[in-house]
Amino acid sequence: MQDVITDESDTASKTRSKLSDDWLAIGCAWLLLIVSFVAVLSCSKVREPDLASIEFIAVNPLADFIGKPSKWTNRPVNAFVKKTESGALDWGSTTGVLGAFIVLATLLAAAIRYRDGQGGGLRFLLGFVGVFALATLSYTLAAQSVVKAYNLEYALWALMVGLILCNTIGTPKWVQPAVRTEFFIKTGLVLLGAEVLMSRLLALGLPGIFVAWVVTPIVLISTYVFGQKVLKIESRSLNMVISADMSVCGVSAAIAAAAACKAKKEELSLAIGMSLSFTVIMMVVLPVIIKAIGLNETIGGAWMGGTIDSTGAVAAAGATLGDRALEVAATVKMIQNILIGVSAFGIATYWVTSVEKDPDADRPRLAEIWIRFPKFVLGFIAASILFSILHGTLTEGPELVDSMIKGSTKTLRGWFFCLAFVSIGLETKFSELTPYLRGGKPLILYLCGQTLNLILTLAMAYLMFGVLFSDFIK
Amino acid sequence: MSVPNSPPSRSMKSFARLFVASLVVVLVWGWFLPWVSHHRSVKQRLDFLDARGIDPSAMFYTELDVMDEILDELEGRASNPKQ
Repeated sequence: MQDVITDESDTASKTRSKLSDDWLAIGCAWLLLIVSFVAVLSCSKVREPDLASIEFIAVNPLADFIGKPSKWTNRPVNAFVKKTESGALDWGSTTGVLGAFIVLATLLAAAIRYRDGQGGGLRFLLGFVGVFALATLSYTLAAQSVVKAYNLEYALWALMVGLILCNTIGTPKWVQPAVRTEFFIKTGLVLLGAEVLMSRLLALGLPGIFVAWVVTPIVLISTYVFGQKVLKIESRSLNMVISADMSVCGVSAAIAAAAACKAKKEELSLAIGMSLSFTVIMMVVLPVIIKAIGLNETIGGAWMGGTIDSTGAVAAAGATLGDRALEVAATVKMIQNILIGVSAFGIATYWVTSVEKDPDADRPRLAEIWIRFPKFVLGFIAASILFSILHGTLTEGPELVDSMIKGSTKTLRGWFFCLAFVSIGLETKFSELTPYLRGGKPLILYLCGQTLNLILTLAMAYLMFGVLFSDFIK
Repeated sequence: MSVPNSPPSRSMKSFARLFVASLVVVLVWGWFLPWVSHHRSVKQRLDFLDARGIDPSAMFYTELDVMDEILDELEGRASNPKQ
């Protein structure tokens, strides 16, 4: 009998050890989504301020306990504790960071323990203390006002912090079990799925769809083909990640594309570095050009929304032109943000059916496609579909879903990405990055792709907002 | 002729590099950036972005406070008290 039990437990443990990062990521992310949504659902209430009106108040009880370092200007300590107007100390950010640590450490260590056994879970937990401390440092660097104002996102500083440690004294051995780039990225992406709300696709009607969803895939595919056929870039995944981050929406699209086409960590780092550098330039230069050529605010906003990579930078550039430009630019970018799900699915499918297929076989079999397909994409799409339905069909759907996202899942998703970029830095030697910089092909690809993007988006924005739907401007 | 570094001297060099890199980070974030943020033009820009609820380092539209206002208007909702 004892033998049977041992056999069964061996089989179970073997099955668990086969559990890929994808399935583990889906499990962790969905648990966080379900807990967050149920917490909001159970704490939200209806108030009747008077007999004639009913007010729905969505409350996320986790919001006060999950956070990240706050914006600071003069003293880094203000990222964790601030003086309120009454002179009292506000420790909200510290509570939020500690809360995020407890949630993530518990969940992830339990997941790793489930798959790798007790020893694996404990080693992960110990290492996670180190990786999380570095992620907190990265967030603190990114939270400085001037750094934020110039779109220098936490991904950059997380990479830098990891790279510094890895390339000086080396990544400490006790930290290494928690350096799990893929697992962090995939869990963050499944959480991001809940923010990809299809119900917001038509926020600007047809003109928005044409600018964000017609031009963007054309630019993505053209840039990829240009990189393969003309520049003959050796790494297809590098070519794809650069094409996606430049045409879709910067860092978040780069992360999704890199995970979908199984790009190397150095390729993702390079693509993000280039994207952030050009975003800083474009957010300053584009509004100046638009003002100089006297372009209408709406057309200018749509142009910026479709071309500047980063979402925050689009809003900053749009606000420089005016309120109308801000509204159109931010909304076009939001519609482009929603394209992440479709592009990740498209890239993953293309990769398993064309790039990774057996050259001798005519068509890959369905079973092969299923084996190679990155399963986290399914968790991502499922989260997007479910929360889009909840957002679009429930009477109080927008309030509930927004409260869940803003109060907890958005912050946790940010931590996952930050942990992923710290991990990339901790695994990367500078010498591994230099081969990608030789010849300047990635830079040429980015510049050519962005030029095409600028031309096509301007033409489409003018056609849609200036000619076909000119009433929109009025 | 080069003499290979002994492990202790390599380790000293590694820690020296880490110290220099950390010092640069401390100087840039502890002194330079706070100093820059008090320049009039920079301060004006920071105030301008704050007043509009714009975080230029936002990675996704859900990280932008200004989107709430825009979406409320586009989706025809009155601003709701949310948490």
